Amino acid sequence: MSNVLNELADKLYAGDAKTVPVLVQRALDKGLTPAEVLQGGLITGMDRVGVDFRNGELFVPEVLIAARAMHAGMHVLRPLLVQSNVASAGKVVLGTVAGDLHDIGKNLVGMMLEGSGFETIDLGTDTPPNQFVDAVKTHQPHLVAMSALLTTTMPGMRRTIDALTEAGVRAKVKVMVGGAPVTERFAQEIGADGYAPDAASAVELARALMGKEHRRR
Amino acid sequence: MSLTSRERVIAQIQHRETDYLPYTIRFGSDVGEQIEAYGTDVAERLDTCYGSPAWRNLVDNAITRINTHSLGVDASTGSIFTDVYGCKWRVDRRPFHLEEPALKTPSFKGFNLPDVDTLFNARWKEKTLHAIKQTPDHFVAVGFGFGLWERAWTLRGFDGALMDAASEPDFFEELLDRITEHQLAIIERLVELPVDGVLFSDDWGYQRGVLLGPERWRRMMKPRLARMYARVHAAGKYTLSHCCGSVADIMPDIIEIGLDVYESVQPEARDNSPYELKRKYGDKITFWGGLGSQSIIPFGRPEEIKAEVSKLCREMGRGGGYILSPAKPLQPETPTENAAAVVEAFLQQAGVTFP
Repeated sequence: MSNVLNELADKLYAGDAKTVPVLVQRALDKGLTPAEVLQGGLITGMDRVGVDFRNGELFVPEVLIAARAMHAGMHVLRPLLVQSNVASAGKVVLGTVAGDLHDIGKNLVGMMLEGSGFETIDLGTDTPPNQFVDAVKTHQPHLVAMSALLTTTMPGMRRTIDALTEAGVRAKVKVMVGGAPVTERFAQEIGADGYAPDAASAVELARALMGKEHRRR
Repeated sequence: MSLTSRERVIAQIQHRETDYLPYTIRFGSDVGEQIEAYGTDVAERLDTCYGSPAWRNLVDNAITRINTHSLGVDASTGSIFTDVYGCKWRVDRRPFHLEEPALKTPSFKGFNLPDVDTLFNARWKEKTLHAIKQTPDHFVAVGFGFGLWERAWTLRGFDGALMDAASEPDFFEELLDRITEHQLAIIERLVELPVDGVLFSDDWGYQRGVLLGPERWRRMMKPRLARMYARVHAAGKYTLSHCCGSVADIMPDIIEIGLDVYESVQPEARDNSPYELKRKYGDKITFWGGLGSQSIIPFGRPEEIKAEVSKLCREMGRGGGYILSPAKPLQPETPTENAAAVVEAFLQQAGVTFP
């Protein structure tokens, strides 16, 4: 791999938001394609962040500054990716369910997904089922990701899945859920396709679900 | 002669077993007694369930919490307000949350923490002394709301504080120094009161671990908290700290700097099983809480709740060092029969015959 991409991955891993966009530009100036810069630099760096976060070697502060650096890099790269029609790793509609205003965990998942090349449509917090349904119809995502941090709002996940079914779009998407009180068992009970206990695992889950998605489509 | 609740709590902190376990049950939202806008109060549903509020008189909360000035949230002024630190809050939704931090960038330009004298108005001591006198037989813990980490993130925003800790460590450590001096000045006033302990509120943990990471916590939080705990001990009082989430990774450090009572003991958080913590550290610290608010209380069956309370009493109470409590106040979504199971099991272990 080219040196500039190695350096880019390292700076992203270190959360250096000043240097990352400079290196993105340098890599492009050296003739690398936007897709190569994304995959070989930014996503490679973010993957390492995800692995080390999950293994307890990095913590929430490091993930946040890496995501901030990713964002700075994508600011340069995104228009070029759009121009050159580079496909994302997948499209995800995400939000915190109705009645729940917690957003840190959901944002972290969104940032990690973006950092891994997914396109995210963030519906924000306190998102009622019909808003998820509308977003699925409008954006036609591969995945729907829901967060709940209150035991009282967890049933909102089931209601959202039911609403997707009623609207006839449930089969078009894979549904993943997470949030402090949410468990694997609960995810199965409500008919979600997957549960992730943390943001790094959410990326792996999203990739696994995309794999199934590709085989199906 | 039977012990008072206060004596029972102190015996537990000194790791002596008592006739039964001192306990606390709180009702309502996380935020405390000030905000009751979140649906039907569990306690009121229990009034209906038992046919009258008489059951309330049977509940003997062994620890009285007295909050002084700076909890930082006052719902009486409307849904959005700015506190004396310059943080803008929204309190009509769940959870109450920070709309806008006081410091938008990692800089102190034009910013000073409020003068501690102005936080304690002329009547605070009189009012606090009056509140303390209401429960002479209880262990009284006086608190000042947001602790060191909490105050840091409320001033910089949650993401902001976490990112500062990693990318602006000099700024962040100065922020922590300023808050430490500020809170030491607050503690100076609190330890003059005739109370048994000072209650800190500092959520260092989240579901998966220590937010800042254990090493950074040791470097940034531990020495500053040690100073605060030492001041409380120098005044002959106990240190208590709320912290939900997982703090298993730093439990030896928390013990080392002199925390006497660790409150919440949220069993669903990673590696935070009260039984496991008891096995490892039970002779060095007192656990207060441990009945799961994310699992068994909202989703368990009443008989499961009663069985878990029995297990907590049996295993956590062994050798002292335990105060029975749900990990959080009973939330509005708690099914009435589950809330009743908690109350009944707590009273039963205390030998109170329930109507």
